[in-house]
Amino acid sequence: MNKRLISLALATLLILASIPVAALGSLGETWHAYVYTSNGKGLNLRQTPSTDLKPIATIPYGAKVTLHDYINKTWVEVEYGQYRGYVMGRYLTYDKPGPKPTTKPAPNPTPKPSPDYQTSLKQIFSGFTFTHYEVQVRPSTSGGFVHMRWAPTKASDPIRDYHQNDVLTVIAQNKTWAQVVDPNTGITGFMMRAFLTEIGVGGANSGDGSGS
Amino acid sequence: MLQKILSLLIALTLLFSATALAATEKYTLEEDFQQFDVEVEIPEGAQYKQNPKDGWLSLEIWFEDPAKPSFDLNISFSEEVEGGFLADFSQEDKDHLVALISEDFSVPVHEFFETPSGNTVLLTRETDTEAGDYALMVTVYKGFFFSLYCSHQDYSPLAEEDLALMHQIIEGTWITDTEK
Repeated sequence: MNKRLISLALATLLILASIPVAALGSLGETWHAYVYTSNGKGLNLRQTPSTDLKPIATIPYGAKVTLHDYINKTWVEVEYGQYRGYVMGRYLTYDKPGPKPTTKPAPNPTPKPSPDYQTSLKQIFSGFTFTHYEVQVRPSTSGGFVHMRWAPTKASDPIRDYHQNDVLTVIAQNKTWAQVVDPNTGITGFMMRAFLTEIGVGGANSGDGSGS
Repeated sequence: MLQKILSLLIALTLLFSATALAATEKYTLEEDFQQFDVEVEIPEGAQYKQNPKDGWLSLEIWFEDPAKPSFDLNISFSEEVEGGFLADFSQEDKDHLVALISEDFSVPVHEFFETPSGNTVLLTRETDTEAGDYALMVTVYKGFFFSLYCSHQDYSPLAEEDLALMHQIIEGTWITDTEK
């Protein structure tokens, strides 16, 4: 009996020792995110994951919240100060946002000069590094659309359009653009990173070009 | 004789009226928004499909004729404009909306217009011929973004008739308030 107990204890120790420290750490790890709205307004914290009831608090722009649970593609359970409730996930970012955005009127369209073709190709494809992570599409307005394009420039034809929460895989990126693959169709193209949010750890707009 | 002609005229009038009424199909979106119900007048000859989405609505409208564009109508709540209406936006808020919409256009042009039912709508069109052709109509109603996107499958140039269809759809989208 004693030998069996000792064997069991040793086996348990061996198993625990083989689990990576990071995984053990993640059991007690706390994840955070920051509130980001395009107009600098505060974010409503709600009692339930819906807009049926009035908010219980307003979380200021840039405030840090503790993440508890991803309810679905739209709602996240968070904690802010003494409050615990639900916010819309599209207004959270893992990277601390800059100062409140200020409104700048959109410039009037001006005719573009015709660049040297070879130079412009080199320019638009510069700075790309390989990577691999999943993202959700996040249009600039709720319920909006985002173009996947043939090349990493807005002056390129779209391939097709994507809606909020559509999932894509990023396989390469530079500071502004990501080369993405649609896992459902295999279609690949380019999308502005501003419209992509990494699923899980980190953020799509982390500056170092890595997905984690 | 005169009575027969009159009866025939009345019958023909009724027939044409019934035909005209039958041409526009109305579709009520399946949703669980507390704030309103939405009914869309589908253009004659168009097919449509509501796509299941998590917490927001998507209605596709298209034609068998490949020369005609397809349309996507999305309705989604926004915390950034909670409870708001585009008609009540300040100039600063309108400029901000224009800036947001412009982010995925190469060389956009914008136009605000009012629908016959009094809703303000922002129309944005792509003018960079190298970037394909597409157009977007956006309005905000009770804090919800209503976005109508129009393009050909190959993003070939949109004709004035295509934009007229966009107007027809957005102006044929009826919102019935249900919130007490």
